[in-house]
Amino acid sequence: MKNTGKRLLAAVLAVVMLASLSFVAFAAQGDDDEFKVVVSMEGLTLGQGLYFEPQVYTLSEINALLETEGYGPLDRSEVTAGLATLAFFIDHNIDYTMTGNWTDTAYVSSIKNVDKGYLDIPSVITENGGPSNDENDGNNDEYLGEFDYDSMSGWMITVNDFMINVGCAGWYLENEEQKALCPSDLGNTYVVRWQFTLHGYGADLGVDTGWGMPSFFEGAKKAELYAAYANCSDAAKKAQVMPVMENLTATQDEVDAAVAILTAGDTGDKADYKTTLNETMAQLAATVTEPSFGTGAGEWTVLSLARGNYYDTGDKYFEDYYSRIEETVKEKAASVNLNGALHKVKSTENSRLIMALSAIGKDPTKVGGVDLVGAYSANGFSWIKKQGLNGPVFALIALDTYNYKTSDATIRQQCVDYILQAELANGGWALSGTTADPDMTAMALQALADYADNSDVKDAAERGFAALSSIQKDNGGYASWGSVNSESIAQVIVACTAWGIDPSTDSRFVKSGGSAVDALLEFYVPDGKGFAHVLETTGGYAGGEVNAMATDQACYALVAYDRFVNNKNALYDMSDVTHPEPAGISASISLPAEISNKKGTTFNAIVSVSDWDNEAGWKLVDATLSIPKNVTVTGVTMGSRVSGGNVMYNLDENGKLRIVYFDAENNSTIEVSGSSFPAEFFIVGLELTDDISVKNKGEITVSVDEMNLKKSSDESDDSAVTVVNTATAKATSDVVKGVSFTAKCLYVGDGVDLIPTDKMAIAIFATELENGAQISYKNGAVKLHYSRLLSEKLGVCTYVAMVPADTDLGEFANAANYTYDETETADALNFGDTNSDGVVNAQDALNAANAWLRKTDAPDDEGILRTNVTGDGRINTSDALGIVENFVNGDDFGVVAKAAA
Amino acid sequence: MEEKKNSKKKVIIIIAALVLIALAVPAFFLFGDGGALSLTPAVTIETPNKMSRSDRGEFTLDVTLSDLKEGELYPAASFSMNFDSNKLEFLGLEEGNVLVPCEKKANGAVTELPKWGVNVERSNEIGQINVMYLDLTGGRQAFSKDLLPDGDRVLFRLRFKLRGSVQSGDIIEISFADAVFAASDEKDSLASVKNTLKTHSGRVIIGN
Repeated sequence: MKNTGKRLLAAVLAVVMLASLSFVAFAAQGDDDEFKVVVSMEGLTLGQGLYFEPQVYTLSEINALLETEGYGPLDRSEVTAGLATLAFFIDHNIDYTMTGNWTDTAYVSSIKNVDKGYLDIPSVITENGGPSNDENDGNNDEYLGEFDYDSMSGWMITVNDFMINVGCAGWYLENEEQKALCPSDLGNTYVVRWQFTLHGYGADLGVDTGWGMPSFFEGAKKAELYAAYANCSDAAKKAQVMPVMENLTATQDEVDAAVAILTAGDTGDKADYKTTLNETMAQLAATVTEPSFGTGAGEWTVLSLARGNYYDTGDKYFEDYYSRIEETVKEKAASVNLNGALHKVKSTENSRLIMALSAIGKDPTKVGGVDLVGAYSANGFSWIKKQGLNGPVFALIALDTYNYKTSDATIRQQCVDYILQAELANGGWALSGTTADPDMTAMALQALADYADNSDVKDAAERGFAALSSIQKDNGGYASWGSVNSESIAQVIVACTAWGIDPSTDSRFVKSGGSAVDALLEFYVPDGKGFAHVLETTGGYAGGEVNAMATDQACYALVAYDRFVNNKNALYDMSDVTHPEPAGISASISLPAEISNKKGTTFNAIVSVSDWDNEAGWKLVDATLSIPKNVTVTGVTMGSRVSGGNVMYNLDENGKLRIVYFDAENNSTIEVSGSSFPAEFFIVGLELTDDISVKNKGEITVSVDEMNLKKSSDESDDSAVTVVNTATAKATSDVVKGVSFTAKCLYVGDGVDLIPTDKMAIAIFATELENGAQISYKNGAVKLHYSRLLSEKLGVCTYVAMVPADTDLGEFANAANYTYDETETADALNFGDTNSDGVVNAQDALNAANAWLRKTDAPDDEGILRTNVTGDGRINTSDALGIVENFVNGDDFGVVAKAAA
Repeated sequence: MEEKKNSKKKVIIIIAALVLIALAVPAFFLFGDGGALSLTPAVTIETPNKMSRSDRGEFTLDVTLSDLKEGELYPAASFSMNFDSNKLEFLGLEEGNVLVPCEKKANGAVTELPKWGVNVERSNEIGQINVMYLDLTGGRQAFSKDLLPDGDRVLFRLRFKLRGSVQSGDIIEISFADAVFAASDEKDSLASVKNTLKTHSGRVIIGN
């Protein structure tokens, strides 16, 4: 009995003890999770911003990461800046070089693949003897580390704003003595910032280490900002403070303001531009049920609803509007009787309507038989400028909405010249006076956006944006003609987005009280679901009341902003609108999605035609292409189906490539064989003549400006020349540094004939990789086949693969997923070579036919890639015929055209 | 005695060797590579009579077939032939005499000449004539030994004319880059790439 009691007591005690231990363990865990380390890596001294944004880790997260490399588990007193860094490196898969070890004397000397390849060194460094953007020792490898760009460069580390004076492995975050040295006390949070010092051993970071150079400036304490950023989940707020994060010399006031933004409560309606936009568009659609020609309830409303995708371009709303417009245009053009002009002195009437028609996919050259675009050339520049600066500004915007041709080829240049000449002495534009007006400045900038390659335009634009920034109010708004109003803000937003500037985060357009976007949203009247012209009653306008013009302009400004945020074409770049295919032939152009930024990089631009008529008797083809600077032409060859001439070309100093194709000796008819279109016409070999900066998403654009098919030199004969539509013949390549990958879907099986619905064929394009190099994706998880045909055609090393249809193609763009060996040759695949015997012939055509007839087994993944030459979702007799046409006529396989498109 | 025996043996060996040679030489010409009785089917571009550089008329080269495998159907065939387009202008194909089956026609015919695909313009552009026939009826209109005529078996004729750049003494070769008679079961195909179909080049010889 006694024993039983003892046992019972022991059992009870054991339970209590276990419970207590559990509680202690739980409590300890809770404490440990309050312990947080924020780690970041940045290159502000190079003007490259943050390499890795601040990331917050709890102790358990650190231990989980460290465990993968055999460290820990640690208790919080054992966490050093070094081990927290190691966890961060593991988390981000960062490759680095170091001396010592992570538990003792770690010294990180360089970090791989963080250098963005461009320099925008803050002036505070160059003014203190540091290197300039042009004169530096450079970085000749993939690592960024000590002695790169300057003899006094390397990685330095701060903990809670203290530049630690021991190796990172020797800095214990919770060590009281070390903690006392830190200027910022964030309680249980420790901010570890890895910063690249370019010149002065930390002096350029605003820190005086005592052993380097004296600090170049007084650096702000940013630890609290970094902690707040890491703990903030509001992307809009984070975007708003990013300019401060990236500003090396940000003042303490700016930093504190940024902290306030991050830690403030929900911004509610103010930040939710999308909801506001949707409500405004719905209200416009509900109130402007029958838009017609005019500034109110007319073109601006149509433009807003079309570019905001509220209605599809073919919607009845737009079709009915167009019917009304046709009648109006007929009447007005007849009444004005001035070569298609809708007003004797206001060319903006034509321009406004062209913009709206472009937005809904209608051809403004044939509106009720009136050519609205032709009016510019027919009436000349004197008509365009009759109403002052507005005329050329809107004519230029209208012409460039869909790259409309003008019979007077100088019209555009005259508009550009006129706008440039009208620039004010201190930058910006105004209808009158010497002070920049926000509306006029913004509209001029909108018009010039397509001409950024012109250095005069670029310089004027920089001055214009500087002027806009300088006249912006503290709350982010603008005043014009004496009143703070929403329309001025709207125009600034449209201008910014046209030039790729974020009006909600760019430091030029964010003032202490908010950004331009914030300011515009202040004018939203929730009850009326529209925008006010002014907030305070002035000049006959009631403050805070919905105004139709203000609503139109605010609406399309928010559409412009939304398109910018979602990487869509700018508001007035309507080349993304589907227009009915014009009768005749159109040209298109393709470039690789990405190219290397290195000097000497070669790639091809492929110009194709949508149709051809061998009976037309065309004897000569000429074309003019715009080639960007830093790019030269290595050759022009004709598509394999084109015959009848010889090609000649010249690239002038203004980047205009002129090509002519004809047979001077025999005056032969130019023909395109085969029946499938588009057909490749010109293949232009291009090469970078210099390294290209990859700052701000470097890209190059090539366009076909003009292409003509000529039967004879008789210019009086209208039928002698056929003008090819080049409105959408414009292509862009992203310029990237180092080996980079992009992927594209070629086709997905439709489950009908031999290709299951769960299979997808993709092409993978690799920049800066030797053609044919052996590559492996995720250690061979997917078999990649090198395509010589695609590589040669595009000028970029290209592979093809069959993957599950639900594969995220973004994964194939991640260079970290690949290993490659340029000394080994990859397994190659030739489209159409169904039996892999190295030739494409009748056997392959028959194999394709037999596969469809089910006389042979269903092809495996590689067999599908080889056999489905049409690039549709099935293998059938079309593939057999595709092989015949390729063999006999040299027709391109459809799958190749898809990869090149 | 022993010496006599040895010389008799030598004589027998020599005679036997001569007999073997006498048998082997004709056999080589009959059954050897491209021989009249070769077991491996062959396609040949026949060399025409010697021409003069002043000949400006059109002329043809027959492309002949030696044989096909017994009992096999070949629903597709293709030939790639290289030529010097600076010296010869290819003008097109002319009919041969090798037939394929077809749907019964109004005149009762159940065979017809195969419709070869060829692109004259492109051939001159690239200096290669690519000719293909493809039967998409599942073999009902395939080549077979049964329909090969007796005597010369001409698949088609290549029609050319000389270009002005031709010189006396030129020998212009027209050679196969690839040739195949494709069977549904690929192992039964006749293909130059697998050496199961022999190919023989033709020449255009320009006399003085």
